[in-house]
Amino acid sequence: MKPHGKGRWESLYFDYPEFEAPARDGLAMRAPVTIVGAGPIGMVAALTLARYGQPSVIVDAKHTFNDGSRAICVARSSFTALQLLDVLGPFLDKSLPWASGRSFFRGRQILEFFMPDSATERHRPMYNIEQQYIEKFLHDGVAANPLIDMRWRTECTGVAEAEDGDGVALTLRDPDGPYEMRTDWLLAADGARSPIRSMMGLRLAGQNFEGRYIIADIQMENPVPVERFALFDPDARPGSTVLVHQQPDNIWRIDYQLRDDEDEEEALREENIRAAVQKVLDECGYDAPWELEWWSVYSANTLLLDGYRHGRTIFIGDSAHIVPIFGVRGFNNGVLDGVNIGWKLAWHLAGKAEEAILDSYDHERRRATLDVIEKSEKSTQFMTPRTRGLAMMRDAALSLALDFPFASQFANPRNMTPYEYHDSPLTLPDAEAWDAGPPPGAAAPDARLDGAAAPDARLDGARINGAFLMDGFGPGFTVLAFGDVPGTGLLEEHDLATVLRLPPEGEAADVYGAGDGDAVLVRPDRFIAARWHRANGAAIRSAITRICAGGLQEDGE
Amino acid sequence: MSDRDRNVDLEAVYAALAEGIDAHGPEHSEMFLAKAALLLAEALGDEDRALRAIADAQRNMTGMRRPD
Repeated sequence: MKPHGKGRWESLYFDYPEFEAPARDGLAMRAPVTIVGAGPIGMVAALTLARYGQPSVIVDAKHTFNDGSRAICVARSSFTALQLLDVLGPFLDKSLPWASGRSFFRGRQILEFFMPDSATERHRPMYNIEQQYIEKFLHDGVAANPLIDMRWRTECTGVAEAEDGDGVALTLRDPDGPYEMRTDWLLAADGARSPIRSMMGLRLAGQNFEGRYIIADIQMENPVPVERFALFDPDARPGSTVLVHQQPDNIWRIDYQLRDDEDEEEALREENIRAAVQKVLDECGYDAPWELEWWSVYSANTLLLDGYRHGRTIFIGDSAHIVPIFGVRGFNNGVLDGVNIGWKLAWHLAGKAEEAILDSYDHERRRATLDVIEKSEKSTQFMTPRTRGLAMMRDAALSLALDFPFASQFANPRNMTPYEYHDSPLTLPDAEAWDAGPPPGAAAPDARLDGAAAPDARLDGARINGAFLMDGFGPGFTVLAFGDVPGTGLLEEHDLATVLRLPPEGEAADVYGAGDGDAVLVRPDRFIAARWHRANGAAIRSAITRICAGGLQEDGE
Repeated sequence: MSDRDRNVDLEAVYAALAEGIDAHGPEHSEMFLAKAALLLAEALGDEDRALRAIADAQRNMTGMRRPD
């Protein structure tokens, strides 16, 4: 919602572009992949496909980006993906990196937390940036890419598996009226209220939590370090939880819980938003003048589809799963969806992988969502206790945390590292023991190749001098070969993988727990597929072949 | 090995809990007892024994009849 007198697309900091529908003349009526929804996740999927040479069509009924700052926390895993997609530059220039936060109970600090970080990583654990910029920067990449056919003001009003078995039949409608189109594959990236999900008669299953939150953005000059504030039971809103985040362009997000006895409609009135925000700012000791930009309300739901793949239709992002906002996992989880299905579909379309590889998308990403839900239920129960008992214990813990550090750990946000695909059919478990390093299924970590980064540059990833390991990763599979690994030339000859030959000692070897003769196989989405002691090219080649066949592990069935 | 070998003056603990309940009244006793339970569990340093104690505390809550 917007202040009185302001239009939906009037913003203190962002100019919404106005997009037109493409001319109908010469428009392709057949596509290998059609993506419904030009939100961040749909665009990530299109950019991933294009990264591997596969064209796609994106359709979206809207004429501009989503309004409001929405998802503002971008995790390191998403920056890794944006780097893979060659669109990272503007994100680094615009966003605010942060790695710490503080929690308060009734006005007293009970916790200062630091997210796991390491100088061996190019990117910081978290960056804040408004979703309009996320969409703009992704769209700049989409618009510049000849493989992506972006159709704004184009609504998908019908979807059916074609009766002749030849792909999916779509009914689209633009300002010139309806038209029919065929697509071999359909990616539903049409958001939490997904019309495609409804048209296919599918429903999300899960829990609706009671908690309702208001998010309000203001613009305020307030030069303080970037960190997250959580206020439990503050004087400004007794019995409620408040979060404060800083965003670029002097925008601040005030995020506060409505008590059960508060009327939502009343709380959303502009004068009540203003009064609530002022009280929070007073409690934080911020006395600068401010302007109200935008506000909205949400509830903390955990919902997901039983299956993410339905024939030739695959659900990605919020259309497949809804998770509570304070886990900062809705957007970041969706990005991993888009990259995951993107490379697998691209490999299949290029004839390099069997269709079975697509089922591993459901396997990996549904489990990732379930893991997110489990973690965010713990956060949710702490932020929004649902029963008298949970509320009592929460307050008991917070009250203890004023004096005893052990009790403050309840208020620590759960770890935000990506879910690890240990039991995925694409993951090869260790055949021999490894003493250290990330196991197969984990996200590949970065490492400095020359160890030259200055310590004070840690919060300024864009300007770190010196090469990082991941800069050398290929667009496809990457093999990290430590010391003497025979036979890797064959992987390059057959264009199966990029081989990085690394010294058996040094930062990369330390980070991966690797020594002379070891090798690590990294997938295109930069997760570890397998690792070997005394590796050789033939074993690595065989692993790639089996991944592309859709599975390394025997299914128990 | 046995807890009874250790020097626990349960009479003093009993009295301190009673004093705390009296001091905080019906409105805040629950919170006081919840905090005491968390602190005791932390001091005990044994999740299984803490959970067993919490389960044991829930026996015979109404009247004096045994639950089984």
